Amino acid sequence: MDIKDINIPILSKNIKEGETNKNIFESKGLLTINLISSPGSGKTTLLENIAPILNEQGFPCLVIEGDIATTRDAERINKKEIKCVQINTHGICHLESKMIRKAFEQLDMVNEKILFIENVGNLVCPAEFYLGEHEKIAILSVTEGEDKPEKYPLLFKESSCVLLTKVDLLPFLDLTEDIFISEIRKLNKKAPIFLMSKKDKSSYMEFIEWLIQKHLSIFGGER
Amino acid sequence: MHEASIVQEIIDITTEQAKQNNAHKVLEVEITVGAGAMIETDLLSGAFDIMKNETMLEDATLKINKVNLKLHCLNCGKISESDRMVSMECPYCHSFETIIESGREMLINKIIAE
Ligand SMILES: Nc1nc2c(ncn2[C@@H]2O[C@H](COP(=O)(O)OP(=O)(O)OP(=O)(O)O)[C@@H](O)[C@H]2O)c(=O)[nH]1
Ligand SMILES: [Mg+2]
Ligand SMILES: [Zn+2]
Repeated sequence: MDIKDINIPILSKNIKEGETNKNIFESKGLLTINLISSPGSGKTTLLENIAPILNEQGFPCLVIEGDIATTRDAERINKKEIKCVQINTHGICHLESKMIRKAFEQLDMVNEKILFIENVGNLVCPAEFYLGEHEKIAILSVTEGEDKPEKYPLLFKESSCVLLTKVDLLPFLDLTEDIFISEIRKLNKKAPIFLMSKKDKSSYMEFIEWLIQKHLSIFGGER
Repeated sequence: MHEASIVQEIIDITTEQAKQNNAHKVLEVEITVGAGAMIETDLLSGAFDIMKNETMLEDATLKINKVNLKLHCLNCGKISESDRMVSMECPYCHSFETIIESGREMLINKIIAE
């Protein structure tokens, strides 16, 4: 027998599971952020720095850490007294919606308002898997080079915000922030671009404000 | 490099569809893979041949129809096509203000079963 013209998207199950996740997050008032970048661009460093500030501002966070192996990132986050659960994908290059749900169930949520998902370090595959997030954010560290957005265009095109990290290292690279911004702008005219460095804590504030505004725009309320 | 995840989905969806149609054996699965779906079709076929064992798809062949990535340039209005993942640059006017018309998709089109 022929089962014809079915045209089922191969990733439809992941998308459906993602929608279920999103409903759960929304019912709990959680803004959910999917952080995607190459390995070592500074995802965990970002979370270590911004989560305590968000907490002080009345927007406590939860973190799901995705890694192929090891729990090193989760240990770093736990040290900051932020609730965190680690997913080990055992070789898989990305996170999927079902993994997120399982991990989320292990988190003891009380009054948190933002859930960060640190995806597996990879610029290609994670961009193909919706997790139920509100915002997909691309992170690019200056040491990776200004050509990366053009080489990995889908992520940069489809992200709602781009974080340029390690800008303290620009002088050592003979590069300027303008070069990075114009390269990102080639692919994405609209997404805000935030420049940051772990050496300057104030550089995180603009992004923190963006997150808070996102939360307020989705869930209402005042700060 | 997520071909194995894709193959698992193909096997799961096909098995479900076949069961719904009271079939017990799948002979062929026909899929469409866009050039912008970030999937290497040779690796997909390789993974399929290994992973289909001990499933209803054990004797099935995977037929892959590749479709081009279509970029629509907002600057000059032209549409360009490519059979591989390309940068988002319009080949005619070199603008990056382009949108992907199609070619990101990955679909199961047809199943032959008995
Ligand atoms: N100079 C400088 N170094 C940074 C900055 N942010 C992160 N780093 C360093 O870059 C290295 C990698 O940072 P991580 O935060 O572990 O990066 P990651 O993206 O979480 O890495 P993976 O989870 O392994 O993909 C660490 O040694 C950080 O200290 C920064 O703003 N400036
Ligand atoms: Mg990390
Ligand atoms: Zn053009």
